[in-house]
Order: sequence, then structure tokens, then C-alpha cells
Amino acid sequence: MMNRLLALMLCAAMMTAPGCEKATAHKKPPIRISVNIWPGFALAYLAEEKGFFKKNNVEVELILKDSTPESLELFTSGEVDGCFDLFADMIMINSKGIPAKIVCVVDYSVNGDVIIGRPDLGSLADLAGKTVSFEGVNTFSHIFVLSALEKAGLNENDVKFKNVKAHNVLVELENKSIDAGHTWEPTKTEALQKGYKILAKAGDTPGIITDILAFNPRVIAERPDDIRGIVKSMFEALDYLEHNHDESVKIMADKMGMTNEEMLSGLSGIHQPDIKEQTELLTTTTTTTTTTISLYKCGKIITDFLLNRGQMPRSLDINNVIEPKFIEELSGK
Amino acid sequence: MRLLLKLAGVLIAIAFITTVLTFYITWTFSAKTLQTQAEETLKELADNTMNKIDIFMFERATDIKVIAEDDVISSRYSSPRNITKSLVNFRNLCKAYVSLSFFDSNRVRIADTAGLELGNPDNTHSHWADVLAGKISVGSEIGLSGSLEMPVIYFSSPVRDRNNEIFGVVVARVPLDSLNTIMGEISFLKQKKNVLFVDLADKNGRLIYSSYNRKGILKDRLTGCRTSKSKIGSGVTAMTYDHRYEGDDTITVLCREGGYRDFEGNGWVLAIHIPKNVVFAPIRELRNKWILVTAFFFVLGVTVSLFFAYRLSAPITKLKSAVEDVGRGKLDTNLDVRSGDEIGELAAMFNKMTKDLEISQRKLKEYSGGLESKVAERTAELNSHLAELKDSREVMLSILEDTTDVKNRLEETLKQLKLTEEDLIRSGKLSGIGQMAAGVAHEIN
Repeated sequence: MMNRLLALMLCAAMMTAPGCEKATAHKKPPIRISVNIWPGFALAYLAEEKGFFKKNNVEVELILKDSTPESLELFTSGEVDGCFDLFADMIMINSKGIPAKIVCVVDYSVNGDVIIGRPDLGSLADLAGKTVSFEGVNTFSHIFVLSALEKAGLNENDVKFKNVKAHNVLVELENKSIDAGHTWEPTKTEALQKGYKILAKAGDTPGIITDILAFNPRVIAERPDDIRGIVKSMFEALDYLEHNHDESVKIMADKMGMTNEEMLSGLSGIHQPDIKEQTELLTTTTTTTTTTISLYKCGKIITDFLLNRGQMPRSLDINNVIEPKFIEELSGK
Repeated sequence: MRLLLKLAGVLIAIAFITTVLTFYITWTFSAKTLQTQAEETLKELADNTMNKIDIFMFERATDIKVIAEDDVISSRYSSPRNITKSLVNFRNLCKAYVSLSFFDSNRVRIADTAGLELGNPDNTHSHWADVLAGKISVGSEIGLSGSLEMPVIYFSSPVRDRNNEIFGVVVARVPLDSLNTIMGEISFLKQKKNVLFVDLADKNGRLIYSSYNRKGILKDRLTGCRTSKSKIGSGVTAMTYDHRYEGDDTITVLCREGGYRDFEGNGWVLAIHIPKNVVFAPIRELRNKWILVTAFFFVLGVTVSLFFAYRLSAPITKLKSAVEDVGRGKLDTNLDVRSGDEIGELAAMFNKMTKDLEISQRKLKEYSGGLESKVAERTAELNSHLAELKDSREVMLSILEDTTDVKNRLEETLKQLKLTEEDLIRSGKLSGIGQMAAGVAHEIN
């Protein structure tokens, strides 16, 4: 009797105990990354096509968008876990309270981004009093144009500006509504063919146009192995590109909807740092070469720019935007 | 066993009722306290947040006044280049504006820090009416800036020349995201950003900030949001508010913009919602622990009450069987009960009683034993007397028999005499015979 009662009580106690253990772990969802059309980012598709992600035991879903704002929107709205984007954009969204951490650099634009102008202009300095276009206020494009002008001794108040999408630059040049503008492939080649002239290249202001791969810190914290796998795959893809150039270019061009020539031209305009170089870029504050600059150093330029324009509440700690541990681990540092 | 169950039942019932009652009282009391606390906290938070926004707005109002009175800007003779230079300086100094512009009185943009839309007229913005009437517009207009391609809050001030005549307008654009920044600076909001849902609406109920509905900003309208002018500065007012937060049941507090110093505010309304299940999470947790602890103590209580009931009823059961034993005449029954309570006393008394009973019975037995021997003695005595009597009776009976025999013989003789007499009579010798018979009869008597 006693025993039965006791057993009953125990049963009751067990039943009221809070929820049972969660059901067995279900299959992990793929890591979703937004990409926009850019030769450097085509490396991700090479990694996917050649099965590097699979080899590194990570499932990745790449979502291709036509432009940077579109792919960034996917990230800021939380629809994707990571994005291939610009360093400046990462600083910008972090300052807006949307956390993103850079895990690796994909490429530096060297000749890819240009300020292209009317043929009669000799140099950037000739743009005084003229109208120059950039894509988006306070974007990397704005920073690039202002930095390039500054290098040529021109201030904001010396030049008129116009907000023009990169792919519309040629149209605006033809309309004579601008005298020069920031653009990239394929508009760059088209404009050159029409006789327009390159006045400045991204390489002139190293680091301003740095393409990176960033993830939501939550995903980094929850799935570090997957992120490491992705970073590793990117380096494997870079290696593959180097050794199987023609095949890789074809795959990348197909995926990005470009011709082989456009892809080749695009790749020639960027510098893709290897793991050794990245280790320095992501972990040191001083490295500066002719084409690259430590993320910490150029982060400061970008931060100051945004700070003056009411886009940031306070100077952002660049350390919060960069997560160098995967690069460090992979380089065996 | 029945007594045991009754006792256990009563004890368990008492324990159960007490537990449930205590739990119910604690629950309702804690729930009420938590709700009040949450509301008070949220009210204070809403007030502080709104205040912080108003301080920010006041600062911008101050900026725009200072800018409008700047020597270069307020001079009719300054070149656009110098005005731009001046505006850029202010921009870099204030660090709050995406861009600053100077317009002439025909609404044509003369100077702009971003260098955009120069020489183009601006006819679309509503804040112009205020400004051209000589007033300062402090965030009275919020909208998407066409040239900047981002939502901004407009601040504008008329620019007067030395003769106090309006000849231009300065316009400053603060990104609407600054509200995000302000909210982000409030540590409590930051800490609880996953549980607190914040909306800010302008006086028309248009959403201008939302912590959870970014896409609805400048698009969604918060209906049912009524503000009353008389409540300015009084902080939280009783307003109905159909917030967009579609989650669980929430606690919602509202705060109407109260202004700061000479900035009167634009009638914005801040709403903070917190799901009730978050507010009540601590007591939910407490409840779960309570249930666990209660279950444990319940089991313990049942065990203990069963034990005590057993302890209580065991002596009584013993007593019962002892009484039965005694009833069956087993008088050497001794109860082994060592409890010091009434039951112990009862057992002791029972033991004493059986002992006494035993003694008295023994005495009775002894007594009855003596009586029997006496009876036997007397019986023997009586028997001997009886034997004697029997003997004498037999003697007497034999005497009586003898006598009867004699008598019978005499009667026989008499009968024969009588016969003889008759014969004698008949024979005539009667007189002699009569005399002889008289002699014989005399002899017999």
C-alpha cells in the first residue's frame, strides 16, 4: 500500500517536472550567404561547383543578387547568415546596430573600380567645379570618390556631386549630366570603348574598396566549424583558380552571368590576398602595401568619414567588426 | 488499517490544502506585483527614452539656430563655395547630419555638403511653410530624401540678413536611423532588445521607429493612437493604441513626447511592449520549482503521515487484538506499548487490568477449589449418613415385612377361625368355639 502510494506520488512528481529533453538533433540548415555580381565573389561559386564546401563538410546556399544594396538588404533583414560585401558597408551596418563580423577578405579592388571621365579631362584635379557621380550617399562609392578627389587636392566644396548607379554612369556621361563618375565592369569597359578616360583607380586609395565575407556573430558563435569550412573552401577555390585558370574563369563567368572576357578583365582588376597576406591584414594594424592596407587602418578612414556625416553614434571599435580567428587557425598561427 | 487510512487521509488532505492555498496566494500576489513592477519600469523607461529623444531634438534645434546665424551663412554676399565650406565645418563639428544645405528664398539649392542637387529648386517639402513664415522646423517633417536615398528627419531655419529679412533657408538632414542609435544607447533597451518591443510614431501615427518592424518604418500607420494636447509634458497618458506587435499578450506602456526646454515636441508617441510571458517568466520558473518541491514534500508528507498514522494506529490495533485475546480468556496477554501518550497510558492500564483480572480469577479458582473438597467431604458424610439411614430403613422394612407377614398369617388364621366358627356354629358347638375364638383373638391383640 505504502509502496504503491509512493510510486504514485513519484509518478506525479515526474510528470510535473519541466519538459523532457529536446528531440534528437535535426539536420543543420545550410549556411545562407548573399552574393552580388562581382568577379571576386565568383570565387564562392567556384568553391561550390568544385565541391570544396562539401569536402569541408559544410552546406552552403548562395543567393545571388544584382547589386550590393539588394544583397546587403538580405543580410540586414536577417534572411541570410552571411554576405559577400564591402568592408565599408559592414562598418556602416554595425554602426546601425546590425552586427556583422568579417571572417576573411575576398579581394581588394585595384583596377576594378574607376572614376571614368570625359576624354577632355586631363586628371582628377580638372574636376574642380564639375559634376562627379558616386553610387549612394555615404557608401563605399562616396568614400572612394571623395578620397580620390582629396588625393588630387579637391575638397567636397570644390566639386558638384550626383548620386548615380554605377551601371548608369555611361548614360549620364552621354547625357552630359555628369563629367565623371565611379563605375566598374561591365560599364567600365563600355565607357572606355566610347573613348571615356580613367581618372582614378581603386588602387589609388588602397583599402577603401575591400571586398569581404562577413557573418552574423550569432552564426559564428553557434557554428564555428561551418564558418571555418567556408573560409577554408574559399582559399581552396583561390588555389584552384590559380592552377586551373581557364576552367575556373569559365565556371565563374557562367555563374555570374558574364562573358569569359569580362570575368578575366574583372579578375585582373582585383587583388586576391592569399592566407599569409590575410593573416597580416586581419591581425596587424600597420600593414600597408601599394594595393592593400590593414583592415584596422582603413577601417579608421571609413569610420571617420561616417562619423562626420551623422551615420555613427561614436567611433566604432574595428575589433568588433573583424573576427580573425578562422584565418589565424587556418594559417596555423 | 481503516483507522490508518483515515488518519493518513486527513493528514495528507491538510498538507495538500495548505500547499495549494499557499501556492495560490503566492501566485496571485506575485503576478500582481510583477505586473505593477513591469509597468512602472516600462513607464520610467519610456519617459527616459522619450526624454533622450527630445534632448537630441533640442540639440539639433540649437545647431540649426547657430548655423543660421553663422557670419558666412547669414551674409547675402557669401559665395556658394564659402557657404558649403561653412556647412561642411558644421557637419563635421556636429556629427549628426547626413547633409546640410543652403537654399535661397526661391527654394533653389545654393550649397550642399554632399554637393547634390545644386541649383535645383525644392518644392516638395512641407517644412518650408513653417520656415518661410519665420519659424524653425525641428523635426516636423520626416521622409525619404530623394537625393540622399534614405529616410531623414528635417531641421530647418530661416536665414536672416543684417536687416532681419529672410533671404535663405538652411536645411539639415539627420538620418532617421539616429533614432535607432538613440534607442541603442539606452542600455536597458539594448539588454532587453529581445523582449522589449518599441515603436515610435509621429503625431499622425506613422511609424518612424520600430525595434522589430524595420520594414514598416514610414509605411505602417499605428491606428487608434490618440493623443491629447492637454497632456503635453505629463509623460504617460491613457491612450488606446493598436500596436503592430503580433505576439503573445503584452503589457504596453505609452509615452507622449513631452519636449525639452524650449522645444515643445512634435506629438510623437512612444510605445513599449513586453510579452506577459516574459514578465511572468520568473514566477513561472518559481511555479515549476514550487511544483517540484511540492511534489517532493508531498511524497515526504505522505510517507511521514503514513508513518505517523501507523505509529498511532499500531498500538490501537495491538490493543484490539489483545482485547480479543483476553476475551478468549487468554489472560496472560501483555501489551508492549512504550509510548508516553494517552495510548501508552491506555495500554498500561490495559496491562494492569488484565493482570488484576488474572489475579482475581486465580483467587476465584483457588476459592472454588476449597469449596469442592468441602462439598466432597460433606457429601461423603452425607453418604455415610444416607447409608446408615438406608440400613435402618432396611431393618425397619424387614421388621415391617415380618410384621406384615405375622399380620397376614394372623389374618389367615383369623380367616380360618372365622371359617371354623361358622362351621362350629353350623355344627352347634358354637358356644365353645366362640369362647375359644375370643381367647385366640385376645391372644393376637
